[in-house]
Amino acid sequence: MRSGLEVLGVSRRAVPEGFEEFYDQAYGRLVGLARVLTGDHQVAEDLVQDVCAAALGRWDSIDQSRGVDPCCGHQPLGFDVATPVLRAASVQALAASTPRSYLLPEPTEEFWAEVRALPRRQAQVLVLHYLEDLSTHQIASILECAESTVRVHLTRGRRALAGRRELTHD
Amino acid sequence: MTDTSNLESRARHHAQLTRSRYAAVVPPPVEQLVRRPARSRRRGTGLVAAAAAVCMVGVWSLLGQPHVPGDVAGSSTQTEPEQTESQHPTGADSIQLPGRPHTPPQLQDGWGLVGEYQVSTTDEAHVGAEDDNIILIVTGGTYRLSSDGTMARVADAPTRFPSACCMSLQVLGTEQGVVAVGGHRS
Repeated sequence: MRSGLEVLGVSRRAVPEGFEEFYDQAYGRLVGLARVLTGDHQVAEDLVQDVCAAALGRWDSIDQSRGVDPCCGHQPLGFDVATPVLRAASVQALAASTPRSYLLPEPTEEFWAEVRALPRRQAQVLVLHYLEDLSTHQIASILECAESTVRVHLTRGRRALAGRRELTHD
Repeated sequence: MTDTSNLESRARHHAQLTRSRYAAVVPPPVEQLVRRPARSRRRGTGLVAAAAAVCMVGVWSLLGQPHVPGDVAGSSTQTEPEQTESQHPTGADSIQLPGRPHTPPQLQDGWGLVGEYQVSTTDEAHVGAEDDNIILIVTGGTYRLSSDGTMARVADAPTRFPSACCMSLQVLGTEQGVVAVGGHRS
């Protein structure tokens, strides 16, 4: 008996080599990234599925154009994939009405909420720095800005975040 | 002077916790992505986007009907789809369209549909947005579609479309107690 997807004409042959491995490995991390930026798990999953669908459509160019090894454990994210997640997430952050507590404990939820309250660029830089453990050079590549700009955002973001936490927790 | 040293350890701790939690998130089958059109413009709300993700397979299943008994496009009469065992709209397996060709029907611009539609007894409604198209899957109860872009479940609070500027709606088909409605945003 054919599955529902097979009935719709979807076959596994349509999935290019290497994508599925990347997808399995990167999905959770991308959802986590989008989740802390949007504050909403379901929005995050939807964003990541959109991005992965787009990545699937041009998988060959992603794999070759920038030399990103999508399955490499040392490569935090495929840059071509991370960028649209970040861009879409910053837009969706405005649309996400009520942040949901999904999986994360309250202190962690509060921490990311404080990060999201920072100016958009600072929040993105902090999330990439802490959550993805990226260098300023890597962040600059993703956000398509100068490394010095990333350092400024990082410093200001840290300072603002520390200041807020002193006010609210001390 | 603000001390950021304490922040560093806390940030690393929360990041590590987040990473470990989200490493366990299971992706949907990759085949699902194949059927998921890329979005060049995202205008729906987060809720709509989430709903679209949930019901996309079911939507495309229904859109694949070249001709569906009970199609009331162009009229304002009622439809009464057959009651079947499988009525959940969110999974391809529950829709079951064996052997049907996948030929999405053409939506008509500027074409409105106002009417009342009675569907099966479950109580679910899903709304999705894909680029400029609005897709609904509804099950359960009786629904009234209005030309101002609202869908009201009779004797219940109205459910608004994701965009108030929706101008045209069309019932695309019914299958196993599920009604799919599509339209264009103006």
